[in-house]
Amino acid sequence: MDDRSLGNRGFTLIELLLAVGLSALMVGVVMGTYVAIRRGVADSLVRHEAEVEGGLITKQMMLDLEMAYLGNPAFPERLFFEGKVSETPWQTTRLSFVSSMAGEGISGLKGIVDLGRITYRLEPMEDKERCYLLYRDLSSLMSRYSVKSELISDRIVRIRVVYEDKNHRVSRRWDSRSQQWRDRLPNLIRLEVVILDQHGERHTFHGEVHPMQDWME
Amino acid sequence: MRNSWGMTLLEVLVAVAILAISFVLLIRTHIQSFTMIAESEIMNRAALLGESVCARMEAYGWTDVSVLHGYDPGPPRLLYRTKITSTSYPDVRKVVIHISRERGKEPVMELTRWMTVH
Repeated sequence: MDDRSLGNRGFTLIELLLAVGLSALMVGVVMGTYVAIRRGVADSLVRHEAEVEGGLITKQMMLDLEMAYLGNPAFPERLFFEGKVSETPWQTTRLSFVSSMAGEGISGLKGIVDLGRITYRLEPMEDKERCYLLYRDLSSLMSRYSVKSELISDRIVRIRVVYEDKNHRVSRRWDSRSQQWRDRLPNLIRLEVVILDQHGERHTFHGEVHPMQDWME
Repeated sequence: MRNSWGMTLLEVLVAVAILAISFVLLIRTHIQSFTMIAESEIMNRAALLGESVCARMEAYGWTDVSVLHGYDPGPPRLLYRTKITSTSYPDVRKVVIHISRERGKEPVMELTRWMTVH
């Protein structure tokens, strides 16, 4: 009896080629899409990491500056912070102020408010051009030796701080010790933080802060 | 001999189709994670923008109309619109900040603040 008529035949060559061809085509399309999506997800994770880090740094600086005792005669301040990537020489890279948001590690005036000096400082990286380390240092007003230094980023390109007074006058620097600034407290502080992701792409973050100055009232 | 037959073309096609569907479902989960990551970034940016709008309102008062609408050029570009309503307390206002990607679209974030008049 003919095996084919019993239904127990295998593939014909044409059927086999067609099945293999179709399978290869579908697997090719699906794998191509899959690889592209995997690559997209990996890229987005790299971008996401930088987005989260930049957002957190900006938010942290906004919180600290919001609680800064700017203009208080007891804590004369100089604020300017320019980490530049241009050809101009390296300039001041410190942003130092007294704040009641000093955070953990500060033991002074416990139970009332933790007062401390917060200093953000940028340091150039030796092995990475145009990239800076950002440190956040805490020191208690009660003891000048209790300093906690925290590296909060190793991919900063630029941090800009711009000060606006109540008349919308803008300055890159603010110094409460100077007679010129005595009556011009920063009404609004504008921050710009630029960081690099692992692929070398820049991410820019903006934040605006109105420092609380309740001690004046 | 009857049990020794191979697969028919139809059976192979059905098997491939099932495989394809399962791959599509797998890819869909990847796309979802991709979308969620992008959304969380926008939320992150929107929160910073909302805080900045509040800071500007506190700094310059509420009569400055320019603070009521505006945008952050981004990327991503975000529009904001503030709505101020009175409360049962005469000196307190409810400020709602809508942040969206495009005008007239659903807000990606709504921030509510109660602010005192000064």
